Amino acid sequence: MRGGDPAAYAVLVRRYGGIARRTAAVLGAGADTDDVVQEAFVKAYRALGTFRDGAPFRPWLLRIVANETRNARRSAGRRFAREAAQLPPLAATIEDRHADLELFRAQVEALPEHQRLVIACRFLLDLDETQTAQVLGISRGTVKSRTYRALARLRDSVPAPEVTS
Amino acid sequence: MTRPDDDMLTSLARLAGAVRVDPPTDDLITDVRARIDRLPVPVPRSGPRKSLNALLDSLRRHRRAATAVAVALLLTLVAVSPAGAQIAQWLGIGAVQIVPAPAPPAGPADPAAADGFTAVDLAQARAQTTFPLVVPAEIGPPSEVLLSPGGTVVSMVWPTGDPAAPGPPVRLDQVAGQVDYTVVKRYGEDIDFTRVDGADAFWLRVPHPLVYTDVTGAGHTERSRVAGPTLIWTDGPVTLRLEGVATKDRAVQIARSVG
Repeated sequence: MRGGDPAAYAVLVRRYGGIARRTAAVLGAGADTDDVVQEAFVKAYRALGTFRDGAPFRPWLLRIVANETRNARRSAGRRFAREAAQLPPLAATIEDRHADLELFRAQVEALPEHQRLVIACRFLLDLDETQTAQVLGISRGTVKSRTYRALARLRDSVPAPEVTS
Repeated sequence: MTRPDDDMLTSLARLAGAVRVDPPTDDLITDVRARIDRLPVPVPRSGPRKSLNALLDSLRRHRRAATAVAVALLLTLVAVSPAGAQIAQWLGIGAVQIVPAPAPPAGPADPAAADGFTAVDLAQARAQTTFPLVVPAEIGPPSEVLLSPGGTVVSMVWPTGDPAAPGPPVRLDQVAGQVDYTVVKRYGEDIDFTRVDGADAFWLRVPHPLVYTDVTGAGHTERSRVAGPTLIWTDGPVTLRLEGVATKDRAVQIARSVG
């Protein structure tokens, strides 16, 4: 019996597991992050046959991760009423400037969902506009306008944290 | 003069750097593997359907496609499934891209075939390449060293094969870079997925067409021949392919001895 396909797929899981987990966490999967990532990889495998030849794997996988994250948050919403979109914890090495960064993080978390997702993709996952559009399943124009509005909102909410060089 | 957004973007960059997400544990691979091993191997479907006619058309195409797949499986037991081909296309290794292709033409594989490469010695090859060349200790220095037309691939040849098991020639290709030069492997058979010192490696166990494609700037050269059993792996920025060793275990052993 051949087992080539699952074995090959395991290589993909190893290669893209890190970015998938970061994406789920940054988009707000919280405690469900590992479940979301596992589910996304299984769904991606089941849907392998639907691919257009030559389509790249990464943006498509991340789109499934984004959808699974949304599903997980919806069901968490049903269980625990409204849950804040928690970003992952910050590294402990930031020290002295930690406080203002924590404040800034809270502002990002407080953005309306659709703006928060765009900001997370563009700046925390470092995706470009096209990739963000693919992952979130919206148009590039929508990515642009939501980014613009989110940045304006962040700028207005509290003074930006002090940056020293 | 800084614009307000500059501070904002700096803050976002700092936030991105400070947000810590651990990599997945090995459980992820184990768990996904356990779940997909129970699933049928996915089969490609046709594109979106717009009308009843298109739907009927598509059903007809499906029936034909299913027949073609079944016949193909009967003809060649080692054919890679379409889903396997899709996965392999995303994988690649270093400068090697793997694409689905029909079964290779009949005829013996000849690892020593020079493909328009020029003979040089090891010192000349080292002088003309920008990456460090390796020689596997397991099989010692090569008898021949060949340089590709563009100077981007170095091939080492052992005409009498692996000293531990003399036989057909063994050839080691070394390629640097992942964009400018691509060695495209076309395959019509199964691939084993293995590891060499922690890096992903592919073992192609039966002969397959091999195409060297030089896509640097204006130039485009292509040399094609049938390749024998091959191990492909990477060592830092260099992609290596070892051809002509009879077994996977021995090929991996030789691959581990480069230094």
